[in-house]
This record gives sequence, C-alpha cells and structure tokens, in this order.
Amino acid sequence: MQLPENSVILITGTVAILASILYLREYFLRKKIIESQKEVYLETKQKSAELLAAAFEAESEIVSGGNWAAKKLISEYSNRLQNLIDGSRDSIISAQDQLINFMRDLQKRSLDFEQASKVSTEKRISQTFERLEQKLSDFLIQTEQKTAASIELELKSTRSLIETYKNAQLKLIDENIIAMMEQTLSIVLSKKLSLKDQLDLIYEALEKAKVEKFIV
Amino acid sequence: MNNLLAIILKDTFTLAQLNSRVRVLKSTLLNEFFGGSQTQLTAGEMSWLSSLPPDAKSKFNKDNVYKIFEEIEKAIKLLPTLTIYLTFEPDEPTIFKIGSFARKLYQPNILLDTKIDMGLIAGCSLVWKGRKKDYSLKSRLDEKKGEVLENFKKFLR
Repeated sequence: MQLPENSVILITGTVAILASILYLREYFLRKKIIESQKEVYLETKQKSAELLAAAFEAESEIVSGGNWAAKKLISEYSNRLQNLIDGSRDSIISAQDQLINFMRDLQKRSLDFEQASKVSTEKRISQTFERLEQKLSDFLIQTEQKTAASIELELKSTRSLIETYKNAQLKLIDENIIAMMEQTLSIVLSKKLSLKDQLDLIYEALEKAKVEKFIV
Repeated sequence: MNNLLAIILKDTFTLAQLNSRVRVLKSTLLNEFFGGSQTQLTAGEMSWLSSLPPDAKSKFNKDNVYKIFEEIEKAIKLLPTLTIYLTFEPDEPTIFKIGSFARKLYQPNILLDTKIDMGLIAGCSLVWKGRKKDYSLKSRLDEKKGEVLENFKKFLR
C-alpha cells in the first residue's frame, strides 16, 4: 500500500517536533537536578564547618579537663607508688635479713659438716693406714719366708747338681782309669803272654763253658 | 758222602778251612772230569790234597760229582759251629790244638769259627747257638772293676 508523499513528510515532521520537545524537557530537568544538588552540597558544607567548629571547641574543653585529671591521677599514682616502694623496701630489708640469717646458718652447718667430715676422713685414713701397714707387714713376712724357701730350694738343687756333676766326673775318671788299665794290659800281655799261656786261658774258658753248660 | 766229610773233618777244625778245602777238592775233581782251567793251589792246599786217602776220590765220577758236593755243602751247614773270639791270629798248629781240645771236650765233629777281638786283652769269648759268653780278661776286669779301682786308688795314695 502506498502512502502519499505528504503524509510521510507530515509524520516525520511530527516525530521530529516530539523528539525536540522531549529533549528540551530532559535538558531542563537535568539542569534543575544539578542546581538542587549544588544547593545541598553548599548546605552540607556549611553544616560540616559548623560541626567542625563545635568539635574543636569540645576538644579544647576536653583537653583542658583531661590535663587536670591526668595530673591528679599521676599524683595519686605517685603517692601509691611511693607507698608501694616503702612497703617493698621493708619487705626487701626483711628478706635480706632472713637471707643473711639463712646464709649464716648455712655457713655454720657447712662448718659443722666440714669438721665432721674432716674427723671422719682422718679416722678413715688412719684405719686405711693401719690396714695397709698390717698387709705390708704380712706381705713382707710372706715374701721373706718364700725367699728363704726359694733360696733353700735353689741351694738344694745346686748341691744336687754339684753332686751329680761330681759323680759323673768321678765315674768318667773311673772309666778312664779302667780304659787306661785295659789298654796297658792289652799292650803288655800281647807282648808278654806266651802262646802256651794264651792256649791255657782258652782251654780254661772252654772247660768253664762246659761246666756252666753254656755249650751242650 | 758222610765218610768223605768225616775224612776231611779229621784234620780240619775251622769253618773257613773246611769251606776252602771242599772248594779245592771240588775244583780239582771238576778239572779232572771236565777239564778247563785249574785254579792255582797253594803249597798247603796241594799238601792237604795229597794227604787224602786214595779211596776218598775214587767214589767220584762225572755223573755224581755235583750231587755229592751238593750233599756235602748241605751237611756242612748242619755241623755244630762254635764261634770263638781270640786276641791273636792263630796259626794252623794252634787251631789244631784248640780244635782237638774242643772236640775232645764236646763233640767229635764240632767246628770252630775263629774271629779276632783285641779288646778282650787275653783269653776268649764264645758264641754258641746265638748266645755269647765272655771268658776274657776284660770280662773279669769288668766284674771286679770296683775292687780294681779301689786298689788302684789306694796305690795312688
């Protein structure tokens, strides 16, 4: 469907007029809001300044009042502290006295203990020395006895050894004497003994063997 | 055979002498029967051979000579032998005397085996069937060693 060209122009114009009206309305509305905001701001600022002044004033009052209270408080604290220090000093002096007494008592006890310990130690040392002396004496006696026995044994052994050696030497001498005699006899008899004597000895041996029934 | 051994033993008193004479007789007979080289004989051996009675050799011939000597050697091993240790080297007459005495005293066929031991000084020691008996002067000295020593020491003092 086709509208006539005039109608279009008319509608467009109407819309444009309406848009301009709306724009203007919005523009003035906003301008009014901004102005009202400015007023509120100024009012707020003024009230803030008033409040700040009041606050300063209140602060000054409080500070002046606070100083006095603080001085009073310090004074009270000072008095109390002095009292407390005085009380503590007494307590400390008392404790110090007690400590001194305790130390004296401790010193006395320590001296007593030291004395008792000294006596006990001396007694023990004395006993130890007595025991040591006794043991040493016993040991010396035993050693003396053992030494004497050992020397006696050694002497006995030496005497026995000498006796054995003497006997061995005597036996050796005897053997040498016999050997010398035998050799001498052998030399002499081989020269001096006649054939007849030799034969007689052999006959004698053969007869003796028969008598003894050595040859059967 | 026993007869021949008895003939040989009549004047043979030691084992060494007997072995030697049997060896000489055997060698001579073998030489006679089979020929070959004759061992050189000493004067004593020749004298002994000639002293044998003629019938002693007549029993031998080529066939029995080895057998007879084998039997003689066996018989010699069975003869009683007395080992006698002397202090001198005995000559034949001395051996004859000792041997004759021993045969008179013990057995007629006993043989002597003589050995030398100069350590005996004088006399002799005898070994019979493995046992030894010392009849020498040394043995007597050993028996009386104490007494001899005592006397000697007395003599020295």
